[in-house]
Amino acid sequence: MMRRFSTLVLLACGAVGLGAAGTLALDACVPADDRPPPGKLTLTVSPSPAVLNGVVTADGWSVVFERVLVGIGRASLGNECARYSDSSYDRLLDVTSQRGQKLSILYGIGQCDLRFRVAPPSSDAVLGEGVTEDQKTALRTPGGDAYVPLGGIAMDVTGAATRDGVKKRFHLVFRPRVRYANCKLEPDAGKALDLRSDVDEVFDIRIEAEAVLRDDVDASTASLRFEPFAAADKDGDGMVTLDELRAVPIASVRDGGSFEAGIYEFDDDAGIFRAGKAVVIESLGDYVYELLLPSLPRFRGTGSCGAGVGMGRGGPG
Amino acid sequence: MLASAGHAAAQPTPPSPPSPPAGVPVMPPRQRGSADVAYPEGASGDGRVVLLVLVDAAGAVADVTPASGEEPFVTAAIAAARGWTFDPATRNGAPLAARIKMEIVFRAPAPAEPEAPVVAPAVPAGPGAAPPPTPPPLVDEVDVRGQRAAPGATSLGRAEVRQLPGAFGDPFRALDALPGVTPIVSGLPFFYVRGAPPGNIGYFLDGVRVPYLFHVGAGPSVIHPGMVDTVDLYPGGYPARFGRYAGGIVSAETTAPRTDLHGEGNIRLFDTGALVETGFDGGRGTALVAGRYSYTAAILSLIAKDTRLDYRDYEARATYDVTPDDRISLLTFGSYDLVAQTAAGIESVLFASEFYRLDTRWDHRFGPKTRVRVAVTGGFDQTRIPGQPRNSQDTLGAVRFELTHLAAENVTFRAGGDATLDRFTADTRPYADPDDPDTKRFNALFPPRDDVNFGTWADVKLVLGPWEIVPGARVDIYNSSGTTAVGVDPRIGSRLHVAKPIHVIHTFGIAHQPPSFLIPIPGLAIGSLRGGLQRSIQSSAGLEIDLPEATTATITAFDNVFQNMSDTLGVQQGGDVLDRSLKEQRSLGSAVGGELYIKRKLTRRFGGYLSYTISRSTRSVDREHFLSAFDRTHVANVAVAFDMGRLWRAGTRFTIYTGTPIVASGGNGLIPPPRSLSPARDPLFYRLDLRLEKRWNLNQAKTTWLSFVAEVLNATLHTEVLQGQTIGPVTIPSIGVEGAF
Repeated sequence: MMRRFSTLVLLACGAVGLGAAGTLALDACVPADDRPPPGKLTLTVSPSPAVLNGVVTADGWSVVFERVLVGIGRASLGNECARYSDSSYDRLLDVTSQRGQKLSILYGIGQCDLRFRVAPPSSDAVLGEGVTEDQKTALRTPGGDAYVPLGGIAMDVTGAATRDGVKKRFHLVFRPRVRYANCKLEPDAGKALDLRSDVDEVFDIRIEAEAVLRDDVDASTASLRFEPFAAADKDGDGMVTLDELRAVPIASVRDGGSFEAGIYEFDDDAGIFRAGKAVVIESLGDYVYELLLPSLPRFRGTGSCGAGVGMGRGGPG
Repeated sequence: MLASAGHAAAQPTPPSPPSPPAGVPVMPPRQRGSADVAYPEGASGDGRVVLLVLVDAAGAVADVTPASGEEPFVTAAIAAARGWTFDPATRNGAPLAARIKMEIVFRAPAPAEPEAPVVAPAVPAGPGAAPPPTPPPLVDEVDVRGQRAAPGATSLGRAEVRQLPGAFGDPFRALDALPGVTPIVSGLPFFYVRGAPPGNIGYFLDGVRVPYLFHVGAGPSVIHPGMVDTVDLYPGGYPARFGRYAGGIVSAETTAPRTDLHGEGNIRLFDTGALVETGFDGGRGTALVAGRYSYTAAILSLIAKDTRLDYRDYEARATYDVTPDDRISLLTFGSYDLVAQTAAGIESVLFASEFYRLDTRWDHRFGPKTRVRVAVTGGFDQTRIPGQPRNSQDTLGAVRFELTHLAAENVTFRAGGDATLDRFTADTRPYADPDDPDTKRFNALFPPRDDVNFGTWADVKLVLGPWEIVPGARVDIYNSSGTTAVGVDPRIGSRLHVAKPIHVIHTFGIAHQPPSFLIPIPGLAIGSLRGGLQRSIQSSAGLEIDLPEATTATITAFDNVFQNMSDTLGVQQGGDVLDRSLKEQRSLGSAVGGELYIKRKLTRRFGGYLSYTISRSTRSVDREHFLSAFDRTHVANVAVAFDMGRLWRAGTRFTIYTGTPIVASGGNGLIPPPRSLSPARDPLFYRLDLRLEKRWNLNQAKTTWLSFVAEVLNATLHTEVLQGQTIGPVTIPSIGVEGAF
């Protein structure tokens, strides 16, 4: 009996030993992350000087931005470089509050594109300085306008303009989801990023809310004009709304600047992607919403990004 | 069985090994004593006979049918076989009738030996005196008679699955053809079972927990098909020995150990695999090794140089009969997957996963009525988390005990217990945005910790005239990060023989499970018992009907209630599954439906089956009541396989199912609108799978063969629409050569 027991024990030990050895030999084939240390990119969001300090337009209005809420985030690196870590969340920021609010931190190595989006905030969007949960809920509440039949609010711009003792307020909400990519400081520049191992970079995305007042899609030649906005306040309540801007035929404001009516067919060179869809500009509202809105974020202050605009469910981003 | 008649007499078989204890559903009969077959008078030369032997539940030979061979060898073999006795086949330790295939080899007497046949001793007499090893019964297919699977279970045999188009010879891949199973997406082998999500389905191999079944989520199974004897699907009300999963159980059993040298292999478009098993020490021991290796990396490198896809698995088993009543077994298996991409000269792992298991068992028989198994299991799981460049690990250990006692002729008592320790760890995430909610959620869901579980169970199988009733219960104590929970799970199944071809089947059970992740992933399990245990209350009633022409039909109605379930897939809103994968939202669920399963074995000259499920699966979150995101009202599979002659065999399978409910999107930043109980649906999906095989038998007994197999899943290149997104077409072709000896 004792001999049998000993045999059993020996066999059991041998079996366990062999098995353990075999298992250990094959153990841990999944490699640890032994890549070289990546470069670190910290993205921040800042207001333009006009948003921060106010601006006097070419037609003499002093414009102050009181609140510019932007749902922004989902920053990621392009596929051309070694992506170590993307950022899969949004922030809801009031960019009037301070400079250099953190957007996200990305890690990678190589030359690659930068991508991010402006969109209604997701349920787990991180709130920026001074932003409340109530504001997030308001931006996430379904609604619609002439351009986006059903959606939340991606940007909410509130401000006031005064001239010669006349004060007009404006409250514009924008619902489209805009996916930015192919960011460049100069039109012919290479990739947005050149991340090197163990090197930290800080890039800023500037929000130029004053872009909605431009009279040309080309920021370099555009002037800021508020007079067409002020004139749009047909009900005389002192508040300019998007609906009122839509009631202003674009041809009627041509005298005020270089607003162009017509059909815009975008391609990659224009930097605004609409999947081949032509955009018809008939009103001042169309002009602001369809053409100027995507140009609010500026890469590193003066650069620009290609924008893919989704006007409804199933759009880009 | 290979009873070689050396010098005009059959060689003996080795001493009978112990029958396995509970937990091994089907074991073939084992011959008792000598298998001597006298070399027939008037014969000349060598002969080979294959017999089909029906062994009854008492171990006696009830019927013998020749399958191949020539006279006078056939007559001699039949005459001898009628006198043989066996340890009967067993299912879960209970004896049952079985038909097995046996091969007898006659060798002509050597002229130099004038003496009468010498029968070698049954047990090796000592050094130098051992007879040549004699293989045990060569079981081609155990055809179980008079004993069915546990009430409510559906079994798949490997021989049959080989013929199922779209399964690629893999028993686990055939599961989605069974009633009660609702696919998520065609070609992706993750599924709902009677309303329960993939994370609530437990996978076991020989009672050892397997973290997942398929390479890279959608590839071939992680266990070599040649090692799998049967796969049982328990869609609800499962036996008490299965615990800690609230949705369903997939339990695979390995083939019975064989002492004859045999093996099989295949070379396919994307991988190659092999299995070899043999006996040693006069048949007291067996050893098996198997493995599979993918060379997709080499193929992919030609197409997409920046992408690497690797997978491989291994299996090994050794058994040794220390005494006639003691068997030591060792089973080890493991799997490895990796998907990586190179950019800027740096390879980044997109997904990688591995697991390893080592199970050591001691089976002991206390007389003819009582058997026990004691097993110790060790393992290691690891996964590289997509989107989080770090690894998560689970180092685990477990002990289990199983007892089967035949208390009376019609009373079988079974009991067991186990304890498991899972040590979860995760590499730190050096490259992460600390504000990223996903990082925070990941850390909260999967904290480093020790999970300790204890469980004990018992059931009694009572055969009371036409009634077979199996009441049982199990109790599990869960502990994770200092939080403790207890699950008490009563179970009962019954089968009533109401008329000759008809049985009435009932099952009922309560099952508990800790919170589960989206899909099973090695090394990832939600910790701290956050939100408490999930619970399901499962019931079903049905009829089993034996129809003419070896056809069976099963009609079942089921009603499942799920409480506190963590079904991320089912409560998703607008296709944002990945966004929500780390957001645990508990829900109340229910699933009601009916199933029809008509089957004639695919291994027959003309075989096929129809599997149809109609169901409705709902979820409730707070006051919102809606359809599960993967509710599919109708799911139907029809398959046929037929022998076209000249060893050509063809098969086709048609699958069709209702589209999933379209869930209002919350992905555009909206507060999602309320979900509905009657939403619009995606279009229905159907596909056609094809299989063609040409076989060449390389010996008279047909035990050595070679096959050319061409198979394609979704031959008609149909696309599928899921939440408005068109997927595919997901079409998987396979061409290869298979063989066995």
